[in-house]
Amino acid sequence: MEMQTEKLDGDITRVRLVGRMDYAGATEIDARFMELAGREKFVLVDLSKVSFLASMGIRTLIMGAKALKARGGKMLLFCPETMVAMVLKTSGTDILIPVYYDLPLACNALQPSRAPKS
Amino acid sequence: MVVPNNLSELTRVCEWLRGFAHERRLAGRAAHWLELTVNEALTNIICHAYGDHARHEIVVDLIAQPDRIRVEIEDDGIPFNPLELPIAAQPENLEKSAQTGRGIPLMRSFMDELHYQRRDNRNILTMVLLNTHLR
Repeated sequence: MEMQTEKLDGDITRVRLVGRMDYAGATEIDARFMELAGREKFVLVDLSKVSFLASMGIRTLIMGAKALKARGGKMLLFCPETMVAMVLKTSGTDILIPVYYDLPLACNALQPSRAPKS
Repeated sequence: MVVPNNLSELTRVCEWLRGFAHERRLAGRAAHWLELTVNEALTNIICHAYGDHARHEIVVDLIAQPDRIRVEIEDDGIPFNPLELPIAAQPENLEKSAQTGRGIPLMRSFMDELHYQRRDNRNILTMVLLNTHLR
């Protein structure tokens, strides 16, 4: 699994995950993901290139979201594909970490009034 | 397929499942739920079924029928019936949510039938996915 980061307008970090979020994928990114959750404040996790999400991957997302929230930060999930979205919904993860499909709306939810222009 | 009780084996299992799904021309969603639920069942067994550090073997059988796929997973771990696990209430918020424990609910949600039996000191979990060419 790949993990790429970019800064968006304001203090938002977009984390693009690419590949499978199963045991192997989660293990590959756990340390980096938690380090980012301990450093950044507003995190948008782009799931559009995640092809498979299992409970080990959900664990990684929840641990990161908890770490951010404990520091006064926020995380949300962006653009999961259909099957991944069904797993998020069925597991109740979408209640714990909001899911968005529109980038300006997502950024505004993270940091009101600092959404990017496109 | 015989799977040693090591999480690193899951990649090989998923590749085998994808090959099976391709050969049987399963519909996309059916193939996906098959892979997910077997992945979750094996993760639970590997993580929780054994109280020792010994090598154990888990046997996974796939039986294809015209309108369904049956998966049988057999292990020699401690007796455990996943169907007896109470259905947990959805957590109210992130702070109260557990980090783990989502595997069995996912199996229950995405498989059409789940059956368990204990036989000869072994757990036998059977999962059935219906209408696998239509989903």
